[in-house]
Parts: sequence; C-alpha cells; structure tokens
Amino acid sequence: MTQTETLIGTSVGRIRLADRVTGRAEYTADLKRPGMLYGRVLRSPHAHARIARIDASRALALPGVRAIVTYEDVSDARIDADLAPLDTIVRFVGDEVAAVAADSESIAEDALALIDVDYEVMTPVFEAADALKPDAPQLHPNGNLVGGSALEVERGSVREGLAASDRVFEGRFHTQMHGPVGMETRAALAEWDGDSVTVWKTSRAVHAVDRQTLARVLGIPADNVRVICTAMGGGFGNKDEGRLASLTAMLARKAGRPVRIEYSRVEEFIAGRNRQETDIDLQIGVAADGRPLAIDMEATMNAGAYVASGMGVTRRIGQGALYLYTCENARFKGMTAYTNRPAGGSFRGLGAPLGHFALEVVIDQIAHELGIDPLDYRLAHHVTPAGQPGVRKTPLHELAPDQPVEGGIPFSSNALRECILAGAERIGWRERRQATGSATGEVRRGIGIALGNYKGGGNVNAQAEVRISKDGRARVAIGNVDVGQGSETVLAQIAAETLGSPLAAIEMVMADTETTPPAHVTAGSATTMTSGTAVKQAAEEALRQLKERSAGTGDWVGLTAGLADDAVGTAAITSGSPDAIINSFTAHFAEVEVDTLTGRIRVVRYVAAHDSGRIINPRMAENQVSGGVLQFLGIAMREEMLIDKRSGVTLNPNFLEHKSTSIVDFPPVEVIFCGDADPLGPYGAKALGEPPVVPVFAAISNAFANATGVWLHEVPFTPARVLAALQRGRA
Amino acid sequence: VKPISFEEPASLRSALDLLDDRSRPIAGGSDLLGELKEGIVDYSTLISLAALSDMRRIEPYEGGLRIGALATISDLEFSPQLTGPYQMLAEAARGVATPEIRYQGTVGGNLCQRPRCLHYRSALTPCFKKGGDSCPAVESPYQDYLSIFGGSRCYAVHPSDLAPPLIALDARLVIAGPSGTREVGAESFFTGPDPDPRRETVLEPRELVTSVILPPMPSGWRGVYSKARPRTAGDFAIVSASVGFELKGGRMAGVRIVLGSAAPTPIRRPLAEALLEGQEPSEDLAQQAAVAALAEAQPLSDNGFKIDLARALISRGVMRVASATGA
Repeated sequence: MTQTETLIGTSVGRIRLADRVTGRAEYTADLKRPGMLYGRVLRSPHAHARIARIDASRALALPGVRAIVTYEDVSDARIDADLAPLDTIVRFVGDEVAAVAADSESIAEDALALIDVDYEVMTPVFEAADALKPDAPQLHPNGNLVGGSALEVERGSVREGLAASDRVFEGRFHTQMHGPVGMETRAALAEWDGDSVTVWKTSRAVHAVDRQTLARVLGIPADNVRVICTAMGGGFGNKDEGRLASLTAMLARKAGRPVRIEYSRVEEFIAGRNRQETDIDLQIGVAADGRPLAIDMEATMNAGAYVASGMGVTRRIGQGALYLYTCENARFKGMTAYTNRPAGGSFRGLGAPLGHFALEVVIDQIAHELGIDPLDYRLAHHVTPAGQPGVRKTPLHELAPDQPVEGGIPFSSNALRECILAGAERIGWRERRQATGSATGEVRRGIGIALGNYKGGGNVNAQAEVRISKDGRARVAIGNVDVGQGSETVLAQIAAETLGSPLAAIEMVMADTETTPPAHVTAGSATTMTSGTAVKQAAEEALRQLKERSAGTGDWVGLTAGLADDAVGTAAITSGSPDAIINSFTAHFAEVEVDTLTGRIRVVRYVAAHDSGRIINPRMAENQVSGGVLQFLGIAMREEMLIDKRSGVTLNPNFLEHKSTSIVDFPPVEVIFCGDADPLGPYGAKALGEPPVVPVFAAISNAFANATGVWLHEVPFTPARVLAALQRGRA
Repeated sequence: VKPISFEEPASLRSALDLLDDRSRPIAGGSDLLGELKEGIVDYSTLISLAALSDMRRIEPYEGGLRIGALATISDLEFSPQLTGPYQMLAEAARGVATPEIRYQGTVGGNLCQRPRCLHYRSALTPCFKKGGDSCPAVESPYQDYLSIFGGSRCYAVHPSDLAPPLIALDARLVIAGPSGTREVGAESFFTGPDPDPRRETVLEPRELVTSVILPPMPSGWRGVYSKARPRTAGDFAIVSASVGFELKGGRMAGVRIVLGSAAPTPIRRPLAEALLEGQEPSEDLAQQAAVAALAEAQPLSDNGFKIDLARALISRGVMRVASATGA
C-alpha cells in the first residue's frame, strides 16, 4: 500500500458542508414523524413563586389539544440535582410550569392561555451578593451558595507571598450576563415504541448526558432510550439540557403520539442557558523587579435559578491565575450563587475568558507601573514548558491534572513564547506601539496584548469503532456530536491518514446512541485530543486486521477487496499522561481606535497566535480561531441580557436589543499557528475550540489603555463605561 | 398573535371610514407587527393601506417637495429628488434599520412608530405608556432610550430618524380625518407624554398622515444627519443630531439644530442655533454650540453619557455642514 499524500495538515473541505449551506441538512426542528404533535411550554410570569394549584381542564377541552403535563405528572427523579422535570416552585420569569401537545403549534399556544395556575408569589433575589446574605430568600433546600461552600484551591501560600511582596496590585472586574445566541434554537422530538423511546434533539452529549437523564426521568432502562442529534446549528458549548427533552418525551408518552417542541428565539434567550454575570477581585504581589510572588483571585458567579454544568464553569475562572505566570503562590476562590435570574450554564471558554480578563489587565497595569514594556514583562514571567515551581501532589502513576493547581509537573508541550513573539512581530509591536497614555486628539489608537492558557482535553474517556468492509469503505463510529466545530471532518482525516485510505472511503457515524459506542460530552475542547486518539487506535487495529486477513494486495482498493469479513478495530482510551499537563496556549494582539468624544471603540486589527499543537485542518482551524475572536469581540463590546431589577423580566430577549455584533463591525482576524506536534495528541494535535475566546476581553482593554491611559474593568465596553473611564482618567 | 381582522380599503375615504379606537392602519408593518407579537398593543382590525398607491409619490410641490406617507424609507434613500438641502433626509433614511426594513417601512409609519423603551416593549412590565400606573424604566439602569430632557410620568424618547431632519427642513405633515384635512408642523406633530403618556403625537385614532410637505429651501442650505448607535447597522438611535445652515458671505444663516432620541419629542435647540446664526463657522464655535444645545439637559441616573454623544454629534455636524457648504 502506498500513500502519496498526507491528510494531516491539509485543508480538506468540511464533510456535509454542501448539505448545510443548501438547506438539505436536517436539523431537529426540520424532522417530522407520522402523527406528530406540536408542543409548547407554559412559563412563569413570576421570578419566584409557589404553584398552589394548576387546573388544565379548560385547556384540555380545547379541540386539538392531546396532552398536558404538569408537576403532577413527574416522579421524584431529577434532571440535575437542583432541577426536577417540573416543580411546584418557579425560580425565574420564564421557568417551566406545564407543557401542552396539540395538533398544531397555534392550538398549543392558545391552550397555554387556558391553563389556570394559582401562584403564591415569593420574594425574589437577583444579585449574587444579595443572594449570599444570610436573610436572603432561599431558592433551593441547601441554600443559595451552590455546593454549600466556596471552591478554593491554593499552591504555596498567597498570604506569605503577599507579605514578601515589594508591591501589591489589585483590581476589581465585572462581566455581564448574556445569551450564547446559537443560530439554531433548541428543539426536541420524541417518539415512543412500547416502553422504548427515540429522542432527536439539539445536543452536545447524546450518550453521557441525554440518554442517562431521559432514562432516569422517564423511569425506563437506558437501553430503552435512543438519542440522536442529526445536525447542530451552533453549540458553543452551550446546549446543556434543561427540561426540553424530558417534557417532550413525557408529552409523547401521555399523548401516545410523537411530539416535537421547538423553542422560539425568546425562549432560547430566557430558557436556554446563559453566560453568568461574574465579579472578580484580583491581587498580585510582585518583587522589586516585577517577578510575581503571589496571585490571589476571588470570583463570585451569579448562576441564576439552576446550575446546568456544575462548578466547572466557576473553576475555569481561576485557570489563568493559577497557571499562566510562573509563581510559587497562587490561590483561586470561587463562589457560585443561585438567584432568580434565567439559568446559567456552560458556554465557550467557561469561566476562563472572565478570569483571564482580570489577570491580563492587572499584569498590564503592573508592567505599566513598573515602567516595563508589557510584552517584555510577559516574556520574562510567562509559564514555561517546565510548568510551575513546587512539588507534585498527584501520585506519580496517576494522570496529571490538566487544570492543575500544584507545581512540579511539566507541560506536554508549551509554545506560548513562540506565540508571543510571532504575534508581536505581526502586529508590529516594537515599531508601532506608542507609550501608554501618550496619544492625543479626539480619536486615538492603541495596541494591546493578552495571553491565555487552556485545558487541552486530557483525562477524558473516549471510544471508537472502525469497520473496514470489502467494498473499500471504512465506517468510523464515534458517539460525539459535531456541534459545528468540524470534528466530523477532523476525525475522518485522522481515520483516513491512519488507514492509508482515501478520505472519500471514510463514512462517519456520529451522535446516535444506537449506532455508536459511548462518548464523552462535546466540551472542554476535548474532541480532537480524546476521540481523535480513540479513532487513531481503532483505525490502527482495523488496519492490522486488514493486513493480516486480506487475500488482496496493493493499494487500499486491492487490499480491502481481499477481505472475506469486515475488519473491525475498537478502542477505549483515557487521554492524558502521568508525566505531563496538556494545555493549549495563545497570545492575542488587538489594535483599537477610540473615539474619546463618543466612547466608541473600533477594533481595526486583530492578531491571534495559537499553540494547539499540530493543526489537522488549517482552514477549519483558522475559521475556528477567527470565529471565536469575533464572537467574543461582540460580547466585549455590547452583548448583554438585561434583567428588570424589580420583576426579574428579561427585557431584551431578541437580536435587536441583545446587540450581537453583525459582520460589518468586525475586523479581519489574522491567525498564526505556532509550536510543534504535541507528543500526546493524535498526530500531535491539541485543543483549539475554546482557546481563541480566552484572551479577547483583556486584549481590547489593554489596547484601549495604550490609546487612552486607562483600563476598562467592566464588560461590555459600552460608550457609557468608556466615557466614564476616560472621565476618571482625566480626574 | 391573537386573531385579528384585516381590511383592504380601495380608497383613502374608505380607509378613514374604517378607522376607530380598535383598529390600526398598517403599511410596512415593521413596527406594528412587532408590537402585536409582543402583546403590548391590542387591536381588533388592521386596515391595509396597500391599495393607496397615490400616497407613495415623491413630487415637486409649491417650489419644494411633497412626499407621500406611503413612500418607503428606501424610496427616500434612492430618490433623485432629495438633493441639495434635502440630502439630509436621504442620509437619515440610509441610517434607518436594515435594507429589508427600509424597503418595507414607510415615511408615515416611521413618524408614527412607537418608542423603543425596553420596559414599554415588554408585555410583562406594566408602564404608563401601556396604560399602567408606574414607570419601571426611570428607576432601572437601562436608560439608553430614555430622555435627557425630562419627561412626565413617561420618559421614553421618540425613535424616528426622519422626524429630526424634517423638523430642520420646516416640513409640514398633511393629516386626513373624518372632517377633512389639516396641516401640522413637523415639530408640533409630536406631543411627548403630556397630556396622555399612551400616545406620542397629535394624530387622532380616526386620522391618517397622508403626506409630508417640504417647503422650498435656499439652494445653498445643507444639512447633515448623524446618529449614535451601538452597531453600524440595524440599531435605533441612542441620540441623533440634525444640523443645517447656509453660508451667506461666509456667515451661517438659517441654522437648524435638532436632537432626536434625546427628549420625548425631537427637539430644536434654539439657543445653540442663535449662537451660530450670523457667525463664521469654526471648531471653537461648533463646540460652544454643542455645549449650549445640552445646557438644559437633565439626565436620569444612567443616561448622562447621552449628553457627551449629543455634543459630539452636534460639534462634528456643524463642521461637516461647513465643509459641505464650502467653508
């Protein structure tokens, strides 16, 4: 078998791209089953209330209404620890109260108005700080502090480090609540066959979350639940399950017919899962020469009514503080508070962009105060391939943590320095950057830098099956969902490269619990590293069998034609290594133009340098980086969910007022990939999905400061905030 | 959206006959349908004006122009007749929403659109404008669409992009009603929240705006329309400024400065106009006029930044007009 061309590092076209851009791809809301009914959800008009009674008799009497579910239809089984399928307490304006299935969506909508609900209104609380006060209204039985205590981790002693510091710098930061705004709204379709159910849905985990949750809630074995995601219209790490699929399946069972529910855009905003409002306090103590001696970060996150992704989002706030700069003493404390706002959840980058915002702005301020070029400061103190100082605490035979606290463990690879140098050269840092605060005039330009590190997909279980048949096809079964990031294509490239087959020989089967082996959540930028490794190993095994059992010779076609039975390779792996931490790295550079009269910031240039190991598909990888940067520039500038402080009503659940940036306001993003193949990743690849969003807020704030002499500490950077900051700068 | 009946009268007369308290005329529908969908208004009948094609013309009239109320925003944008002094109206039209909405929305609809106050636009937050007995917006931090020149119970600003330049051009609105037609100056068309916070204009439920009359202007008069908004495309104004004058012997004459989205109605700024009138344009004077224009501003707790925006738009607007008039 000869191989003329390597597929790794080649920008092959995205699989099924033509289907997606021509409308042939079937998303969940496009699917229809015979006899299917349409569901709608009744939502609470109150931020906090007890449901005393629901009388659905008038709604049931409406012709065309086939089933209604309320809290009376649910068992004790829960979707999450804090979330029942339906409840007698509603915790935000928009919380689910009941669901209706009817012959049409408009009948279902009409029926909602005929459901009589007696609410006993309770006092709501909307701010995290208020919710954590002892006398605050309690949302859940165990109090408003999620988990009952703060999450706190420490390396060395920040108390000692601060005491030994020559100077201590500090800052207080704020980031907003906003919607993730995937183009596709959430949808689910459920169809029963006896006591088994098939659920098609928007998903990021058909195996690891949906199948288990549905089995539990519906009281049937997991084997009786099949979950399929046919295509996703934007995941962004966000499509955590709430109640949608459970309600759909409950309605379908009660009605005895298939039911589909598709969220409206308003529902997607209020009943999807949002990025949580967060406040961060940061202290950094430095020696006389600027060396960091202690980094101490405390964050409070407003989780809203339910916590969809546990404490993982909060934990990531501290990732940069704990590991981006070489420092013996670092601490992160995170508190997550329930409030009567729409529920938060996971979203691209989790807490990392928030924590990096605080960290990279204060680092910039330290360099400025000490009279050191912020580029040089970072070159002097960024974490090196050796990792952090200190003593390893993880036992030697156990996998190294990839969001570590302890020191004493090196990285598998770390090209952060190359990223800094390459990005600085591209933007012209040495030649073009003026001294901070020296610009004059109404409109001022500035250049800023911000760095990032991100967990790279270690410590995750993955499985794959590769089946080669005599017709020359290789079927790759993997249970993950391609949420839009392109994993289907990248995994196919890895399979074809390993098998030595043409790419066209690969048939990808994904995101169906019936036809794929168990898989992890599509999250944490883990898929290429973990599932890629599983696909590679399964393909190696299948290839070994092919070579062993084939009567044929020659190229791929000749070899496979000689097979009597399919050659099947399977793999079950856990990514990671006991010897090294896997992280991706990035250095971003922004050039902005600030109109000091109107407070408008225009990003004129953006350079993103990334170490994600070896790049499997350069064009898709560049799109992934520029897409992530643009998404977070929009969040940096304007996007926000506005909650009425009196009622808890979401005032802007629409594209007009949520202010997602449109394409005319985006700069081109210049993408640079740095670093060599990672020794642990499949073909040397590391994580890429989330790292591009991590440094964006700080890069803008630091460029703004270079232009004006003042840093912005609150996202979004609205004209009101910009003008207020400039005013403070003049004072 | 609740079921609603739909009438398609063939003439203005029959359209007027159909109008009452429970009905609403619909042209482009870009604002009305949104209000109905959000459940913040409740009408039993929509009266389509689609058949009244006479009302879409833009034509010479008494030395100026007459613009039918059904002319679309994009008709203004691309009209070869909006030249010279009238250019500013085309510029304002180009700043409205998005191309899709400009092709759909009409001049009459733009002048009669309802405020963008987030609390008004939410069915779940009662307010004076929706017939309630309090204003949740004035105590909230979300005041981009609220007045910096006071209010009365309601503080919502009028969002029209066309109204401020029409006021600068001394336009008159022709209104047809059961007892004939009347003309109203563009400035006095808007009432603000007094006496009734549920409405914004003098238009009665049984009346229709049929056309806008632009009087003749001195041929050298030029105006510019500038709009501060969060995004380059698609957004309503946070504040807008229409500035215009001609240069007579190097001195400014016929000065007009009108702020939009700054007060419950679009407002002229006579002190600032007087400060410029008869003077030679300069950066310094432009800034003085900007300061004078906002001297009476009384911002709410969270919209003081609109003063800065308005000043910048005015001072830059004066200099833009100066260069357009060849100063």
